[in-house]
Order: sequence, then C-alpha cells, then structure tokens
Amino acid sequence: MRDIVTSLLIMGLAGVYYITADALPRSFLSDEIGAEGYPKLLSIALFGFACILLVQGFLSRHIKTSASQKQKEKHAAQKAAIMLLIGIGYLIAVPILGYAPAVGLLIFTVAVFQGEPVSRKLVLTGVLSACSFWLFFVYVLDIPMPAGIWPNLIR
Amino acid sequence: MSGLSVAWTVMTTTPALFAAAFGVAWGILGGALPGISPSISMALILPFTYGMKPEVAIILLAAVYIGAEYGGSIPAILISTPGTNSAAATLIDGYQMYRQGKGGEALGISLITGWVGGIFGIMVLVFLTGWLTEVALLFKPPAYFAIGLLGLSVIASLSEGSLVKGFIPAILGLMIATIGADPVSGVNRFTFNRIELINGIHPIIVMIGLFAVSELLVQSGLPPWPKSESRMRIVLPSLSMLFGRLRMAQIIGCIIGTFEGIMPGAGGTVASFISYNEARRWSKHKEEFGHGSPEGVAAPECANNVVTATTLIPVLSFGIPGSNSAAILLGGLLLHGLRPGPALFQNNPHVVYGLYAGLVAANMFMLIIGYVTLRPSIWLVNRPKPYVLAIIYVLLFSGTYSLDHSLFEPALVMVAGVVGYLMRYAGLNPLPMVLGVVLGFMVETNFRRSLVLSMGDYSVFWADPLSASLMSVALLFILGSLGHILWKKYRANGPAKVSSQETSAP
Repeated sequence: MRDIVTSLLIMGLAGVYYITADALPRSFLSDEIGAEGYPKLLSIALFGFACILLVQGFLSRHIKTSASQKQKEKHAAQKAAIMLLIGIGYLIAVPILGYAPAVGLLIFTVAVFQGEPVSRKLVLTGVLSACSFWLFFVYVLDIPMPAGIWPNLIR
Repeated sequence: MSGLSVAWTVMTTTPALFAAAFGVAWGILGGALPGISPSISMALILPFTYGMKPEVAIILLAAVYIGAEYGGSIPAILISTPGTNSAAATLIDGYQMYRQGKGGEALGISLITGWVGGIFGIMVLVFLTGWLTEVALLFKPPAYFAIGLLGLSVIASLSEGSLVKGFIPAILGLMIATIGADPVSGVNRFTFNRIELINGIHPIIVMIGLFAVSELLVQSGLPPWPKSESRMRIVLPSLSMLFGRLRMAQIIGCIIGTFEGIMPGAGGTVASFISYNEARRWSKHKEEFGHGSPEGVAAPECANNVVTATTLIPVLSFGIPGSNSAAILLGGLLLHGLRPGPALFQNNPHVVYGLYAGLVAANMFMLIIGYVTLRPSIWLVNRPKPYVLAIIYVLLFSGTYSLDHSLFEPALVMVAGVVGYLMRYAGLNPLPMVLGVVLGFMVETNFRRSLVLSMGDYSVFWADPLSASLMSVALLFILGSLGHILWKKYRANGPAKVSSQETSAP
C-alpha cells in the first residue's frame, strides 16, 4: 500500500514538474534542447519509474504490517511531527524574540517534549546554552544573528 | 613546487593542524553518540567551514570522518549500541570482550587497528588518485555525462530491495539541481519568483536536511540510549599481539577496505562486515568469533578506517562520491567553488596535497585524542538524550543560518528534512538524491554540451569510446543488480514452497 501511495504522489510530482517546465519562457540564447528540454526528460523518466513502482506496489499489496508495528510507526510519526512543529515555531519566533531567547526556548521545549522534567537544572541549561551559542556565533564567528524586536523597543 | 612541499606549506602556514585535531575530537564525540553517523557529524560542522580557507575546511571535514569512525566503536563496545553503521560489525565481538572485562583491550585494538587502516588508506589514496586523474584528462563532455550517469546508476542499483527505489530519488535529486538559472540561457527555472532560489539550492542544504534533520526526527521517536560504565581505560595491544594474532585481520581489513572504498555505494559498513566474515574464515581461532575475539574487532575497524581515505579516490578524481560522508566532503569542495577532477590538481594543488597531509595528521591525532577523549565520550553518551537532541537542533538551525545570514536556508533545511523522513518511511534511499543534486550540474551541462557539439545527434554518447564504455558499465550494474534482486526473491520463495510441500505431504 505504501508503494502505491508513493508512486501516485511521484506521478503527480512528475506531472506538475513537466507542466512547469513546459511553461518556461524560450530564450534566443538557448541551445537546441532549451531550458525546458532536460527537465522534461527527467519528468518523463520519473513518471516511468513511478509506473513501475505502482505495478510493484500492486503485486506486493498482500504484505501487511502488524498492528503493533503500525502503532509504533504512528507514535514515531507523531513525535517527529511535533519536533517539526517545534522547529517551525523556532523559525517564527527567532525574528521576533531574537537569537538567544529563541535558542533558550528551543532547548527548553525540545527537552520537555522529549521527557525531561521541568526543573531549575533544565532552565539553567537552556539559559547557559543560549548565552554560549550567542557568544560563539556573534563574537567568535562574527555572524550577525537575528536581534529580534528588542533594538527597536530600546530606541 | 613538489607535492610534499605544497603539503608542508599548507600544514605550517594555515590552521590545518588545529583543524585536523579539532575535527578528530568532534568526530569522536559525534560518532560516540548513537544515531549520529559520520555524515551527520560532518553535516553539522559543514556550514561553519564556509568562512575557512578551502584546504583547512576539507581537512576539518576529513578529520571528522576519521574521528567518527573510531568514535562509533565506543558505544558499540561499551553499551552494545553502534554509534555508526560501520561499527555494527565491531559490536559483535567488542561487546563480548567488554562483558568479559576486556572492554579497555577492545577499545585499544579498535584505536590502533583503525590507525593502521587509516595510514594504509592514505597510501592507496595518494597512489591511485594521481593516476586516475591522468585518465580523467582524456574525458570529453559525453564521457563526463556518462560518468555522472554511471555514478548515479551504481548508487541507485546498490540501494537495498528495489532498483526503482534507488532511481526515483536519483531523478528527484537531478530535478532539484535544475532549480535556478539555466546554465546555458540564463532562464530562471522553478524559482517561483524567489530571489533566494535564482542561484539554485545548495547541495549542503539538501545534505543537512536529508541526513541530519531526518535522523533527528527519527531519533525523537526512539527510546533513550542505554548508559555506560564511566570507569574505563584504554589498553593498547602489545606489538606481539599486533604483528602476531591481529596481523591477518588487519591485512584483510586493508584489502577489503581498499576495494569497498573505491566502489561507489559500498562504504565502511559493507567493508567492515565483509572483513569480519573473512577474518573469521582465515582465523586460527574461529571458535572465538562471536564470543569476544580480538580479531573480530581488528578486521572491521581496520577496514572502515581504510575506507575513510579510499572513498576519496572517486571523489577527487571524478567528483563521484561513493558514500554519504564522501558526498558531504564533495559538498565542502563545492561550497568553496572547487570542482573535483584533473583541474583541481592543476589549479588547486594546495587543496589536494594539503588534504593528504591533513589526513596523515588527523590519523596521528586520532591516536592521542582517541586515547584521552574516552572519558568525555562516555560522559556524552550518558547525557540525557533530550538535551543532546535539543543542542543538535540548535546547531542545525544556527549553522544553516550562518551560510547566508537568512532564515530561508534553515526553512529549506527543514523542508529537506521532512522529505528525508518521508523518503525513509517510503523505503527510498536518500543517498541517490544527494548524489543527483551534487552531480546535477555536471550531468546537465555535459549532456547539453555533447548535443551541441554533435548538432543534436544522440548517438554521440555511443560514438565516444570512453562514454560508451562507462554507459555499458552502468548498464551492467543495473542488470547485475536486477539479477541479484530476482535471485534473492527466488531464493526466498523457493525454500518456502518446498517446506510447504513437505508439510502437506502425508
């Protein structure tokens, strides 16, 4: 079943890619193949392989995963999704809060989500790690990390 | 200037020695963490090499690889959890030795035989790369297109289970490489009016996402790592042991590591398992294998350290990476605008010879740092997993942000990570995709250049003898892999049918 879904998704992707390539503007500077020729070849090849995968998926659809295995996979996928959401949250928070507070918050959130109890040690680790990362990137590597809204507020 | 003097200049006028030492230490600590493979340790540090001199950056990455291969054996021996895939073979006898109270001896054998393997691998690398680079001078655009195709076909056909599942990621990788300005006409392709995409998606972003972020997502759903005993000391093997009982195991490790390193797609894991099997076959103490044999530790550790050097042969000669770690190293070269092949030797000898010297230095440092970092490694393994995952997340975001001082790159890394996670779920191997992204430019430009030269005649790829030979080899690999899969299926179904017939018989 997994192969069938994968192959259908890839077929869709190949189709969208082909249509987008076909809509590319033609340039006078282009060679015989053109900017769109090679991508079109790739999309046709991808579609072909997806078709083979679809056939393979149909032939092996009787192979079923056990209920406990499905439950395990579901649990792992849920945890991965939440980790991903935490990461997206960080990307939204960092331009607002600034690098150091966002990093502290990221460490705190990930650790709590992964089962670490909320404690003074955890808060201290978050604060110290955030300060260390900020010092390392801004002062040692000379990388201007996002400052957040604070400079505007102070002004 | 001779190669030796170039190497000396690099080592004495740049922070190359520091990079080698730091890389080894980083690699050992990264490799010691279960789930953090050498390629992930390298991917985590890759963005930080952006501001470095190319030769220093490449030495740092190669040193991380060397350190990680040894680091992976620490949890394999102490907690029966391999830190890297290639350490899985070391686990079999290493952990048994630990249970018998000989954990220090097992770690000592791993360190010394790994060093022997590393030095042997460098000698093979220096000898073969120069020779292969001269061969690469004969290459014309059709041959370059064909070698790109060969690299992709070999990696795709070596993907486990299904040939199709190897080719789909490879094509997806080639598709990602088409994002950005067209190399011939300058037309923007698949950029969706985003300025950030005009220069294309950098292979590093894809590598970090597919290897590191997807692993982080997988690790978040797995139980915590077991704890290790913190009082442990490395006991180095005696010379009589090294040149006596362990001699054959090391020779086997060196030979197999050489072949597997050069062969794209095989890598350290395959090398260490084959070496283990061969060491058992040739051993005078076969009965000890699986019950704490020192040769069972020496052979795989020697082999996977040979691979750390020999895997660079196809990378430096043709720009074809054979493993995840080699792909990251190639990404490091590309990050600094360096294209592997004969031109690299002619235009940037300091990078190539500096790398050779850096590899020697890194192996020397491994002996010292490997000895002294055992306690910190055990401490790190015993840290609560939530903290380790959180720090890795911060490193990923901060490192990718520092590439272009923009949040677009970390966001793109997250997207690549999700793609990598879904690919694992669907049983698709991410390495062909990385290779597709890395080789995409070479494949497309040489494909189009060949057709321009031949006035659109596709037979140019068969008319050029080198191109025809390389494409034939690619075809052989595909057919061979197909035959192997069919044979495995036949073998799997055959006995089952036979046994069912036997049980149904009165």
